[in-house]
Amino acid sequence: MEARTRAIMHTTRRGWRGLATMLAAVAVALAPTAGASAETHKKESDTLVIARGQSIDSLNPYFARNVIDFETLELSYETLVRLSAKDYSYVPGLATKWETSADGRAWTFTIRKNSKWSDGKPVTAHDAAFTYQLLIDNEDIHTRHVDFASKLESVEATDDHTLVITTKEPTPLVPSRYLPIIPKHIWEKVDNPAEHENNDPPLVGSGPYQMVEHVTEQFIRFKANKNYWDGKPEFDELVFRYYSSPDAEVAALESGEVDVVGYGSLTPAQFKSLKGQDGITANAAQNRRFVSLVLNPGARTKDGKRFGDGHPALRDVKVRQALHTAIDKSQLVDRVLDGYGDPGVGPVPKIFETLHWDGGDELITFNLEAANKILDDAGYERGKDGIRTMPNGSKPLKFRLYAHSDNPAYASIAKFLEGWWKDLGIEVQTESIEQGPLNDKNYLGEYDISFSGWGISPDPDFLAMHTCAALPGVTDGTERAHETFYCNPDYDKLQDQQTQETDEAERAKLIKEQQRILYRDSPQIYLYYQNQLEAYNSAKIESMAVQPADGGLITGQSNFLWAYHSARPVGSGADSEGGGSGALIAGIVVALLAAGAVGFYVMRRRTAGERE
Amino acid sequence: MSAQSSGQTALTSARAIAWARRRAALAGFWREYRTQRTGLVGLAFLLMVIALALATPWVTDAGGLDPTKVHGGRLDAPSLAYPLGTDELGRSVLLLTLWGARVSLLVGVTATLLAIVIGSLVGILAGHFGGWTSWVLMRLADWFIVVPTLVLAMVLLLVLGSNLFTIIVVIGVASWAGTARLIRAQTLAVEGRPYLERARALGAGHWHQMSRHVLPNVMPLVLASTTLQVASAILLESTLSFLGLGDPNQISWGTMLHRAYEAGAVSYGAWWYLLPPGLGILVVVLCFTLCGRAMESVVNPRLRGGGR
Repeated sequence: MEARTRAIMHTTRRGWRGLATMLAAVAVALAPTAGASAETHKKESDTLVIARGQSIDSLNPYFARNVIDFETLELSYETLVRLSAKDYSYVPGLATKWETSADGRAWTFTIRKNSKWSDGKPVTAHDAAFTYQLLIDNEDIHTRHVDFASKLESVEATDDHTLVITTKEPTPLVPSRYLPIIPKHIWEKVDNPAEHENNDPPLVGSGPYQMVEHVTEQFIRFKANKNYWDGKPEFDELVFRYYSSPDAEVAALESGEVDVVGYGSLTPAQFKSLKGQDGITANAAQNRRFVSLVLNPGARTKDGKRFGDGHPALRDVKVRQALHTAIDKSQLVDRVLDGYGDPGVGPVPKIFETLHWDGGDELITFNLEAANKILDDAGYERGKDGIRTMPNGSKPLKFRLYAHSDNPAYASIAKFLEGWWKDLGIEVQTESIEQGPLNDKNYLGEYDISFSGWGISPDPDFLAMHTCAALPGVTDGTERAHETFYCNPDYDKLQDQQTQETDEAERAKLIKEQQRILYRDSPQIYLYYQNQLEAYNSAKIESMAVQPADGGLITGQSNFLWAYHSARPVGSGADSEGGGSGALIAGIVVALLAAGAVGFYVMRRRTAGERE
Repeated sequence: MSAQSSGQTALTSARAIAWARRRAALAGFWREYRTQRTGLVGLAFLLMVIALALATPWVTDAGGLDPTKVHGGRLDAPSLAYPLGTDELGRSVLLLTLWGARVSLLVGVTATLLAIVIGSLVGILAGHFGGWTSWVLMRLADWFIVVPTLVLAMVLLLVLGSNLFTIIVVIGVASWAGTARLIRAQTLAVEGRPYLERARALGAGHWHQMSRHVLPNVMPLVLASTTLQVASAILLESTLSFLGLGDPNQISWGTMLHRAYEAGAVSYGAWWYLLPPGLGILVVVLCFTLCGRAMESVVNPRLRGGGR
């Protein structure tokens, strides 16, 4: 389930963070250089500064959950195989080449000889074997990664540069699984690797940048790895600087304090305001995210025991299809996203061209008459007040719609849904709920319709969440592997086939078929794939690699941060002035405000762990 | 003759006497109030805002609030069709501001009434009974005074979930304590007067004393306090909504500011989206404060300063 853990903090990024948010925004806007003094050790032109809204939680490679944790790991460590910047295809990382045995179970990786840990020791196959072996040996780690770890039979370093991973059955997951290779000589001294936070800099890694310092809610500082086998990064330092609000980030970019903004995406209005400015390049990139509605198709356990209080009408596929038909997704893209996105079809976003299903001729088009007809034919007649009732006349079609209170886009979408579905004779009551309680309600089955957004990894393990195996065994809402209690044997069969299919084209076909079934049954309606709106200081950065090459993104790359490794400065010079006592005072003000924000943000983060 | 007969009817019943006295008191109140120029200005503006808010459903079309039925652009600057521009869904900001006034005023007034009812009840009970009743009630009030109102309200809203009703309850619950202390002090002063001793001697029960003697005497103070508190209730509602704790189904000035902020109106320079609700809050809060101050100085002549 890496897909979701990776994605989690993307949108909560802009979540409500209390009073301190806007106070800090104001303070930052007033004091462009405030807070900079703490981490500026080098000339500014040698440092790449990236605006972030998160701080490090845990850098344990097996238990990282926030996007910033993963990105810190991706800069500090390396994987055997990388996902290319061009199209997410596999390209050499620590392994120069790899091959599978005839039966598809044994994977042989050749580890490169020119990679070194930052303490000078060479990276060998033994390090990689140690990293993978923990998935088998350590119980906590095994449980956390059970979908992949349970497929592993043995891991062996046959010599310093050859790694053999044997699986119990053929699986395409070996190269796709994100697992940073950690130094054996450091980690074998750790008592229990599952509990090792790994937060103390400097980290000993082999990646392009090494984390050397971090202060919660202030900054994370990286130093370029001069011996990096794929070429030393051109910026000597990289800093993730913490901002509490996107408006503060935008102001910081405009004042030259920050070079890259857009994690969690800018709003269309912010994006437009940056677009025309000199020295700033704005990038509307395709993204790996979808925003969806989950409809409660009847909460149940694996044994078929019903629970929760979902509306009975939603168990009827006809009602779900009618709701689906009465959503104008392109209008949502135009009006809510200002056109920066694409209408949703299946759970695999358009950015992953090979696996994305485009709906073909089964694409549902917005049609209120057709939607009304579906409901008429299915016997849901309108009552005196214009609201339809169940075919036996028992219960009116009034649905609760739960939206995350920290997401303004959801509130806007809800307004549209209320309007369209009213014309269907369906009443919607929108409730805005904090993320933690909302998740609880979802897993307890106590909802009718609720919003759900995920970031999808290039290998769509999200699909496993709709299998019968993911259904909970208990009714107390603690088993959270499923998305919305969907269970369909046909779908499960495809899931089994695709996780064993090693031929990529065949596998893509199976994954598309899975998406077709989900689309038809509509337990989850994929509303749109929103663009990542980001911008960078082109007066300082000449170029950065995007992923994928065609309309790709800078912030939120997968597996390897091509953008920062490839970033090239424009000439030199342009030292920014400023500082002095004014900046010092402003810095203190900002620090105080940030301290005030900590309480709330910490509280919020604790609940932000599962999904959006 | 006629003057005498009216005098006679006025003197015929105790009730009529009481009403005549009240009318006179009210007239006296108004006479004093009239002399406060700022109070009059505040009252005039306030009546205007209330009239606009009440008339909104008749003079505007609520359909303009449904984004599926409007065709404005996204964050359009003010134009003839949209005098105050549009929001990020293409709805008229003027329309939103008008409808927002209704919710802001409704929440402000209702929450204040709730706070005043709780506060008066607790204050009078504590003042009247004294002893351990007073001690317990006042410690409770102290607790509510010490806990920061905003934080208390946020926590309560997070627990209760956010809709119009819970917002009103939460604001009421978070802001009754000050009133309670005020009322208790006034009750003690009233209870010290000789006629209450007389009433007790004549066998008046607790309820009679509290409702017939104490309450009417603390009422003017309650009114002045109410008016002032509406201002802070409106501010609190706006603050909570701005922080994203408002009811997403309702448009209030606070939620408008929240949405504007979340939509990036600040970076975009969409002043037309930020100013109307902001000025609305400013004007209404100022009006209530002016009226409240004026009433306060009528009720409590010692407050009348250099103005007179």
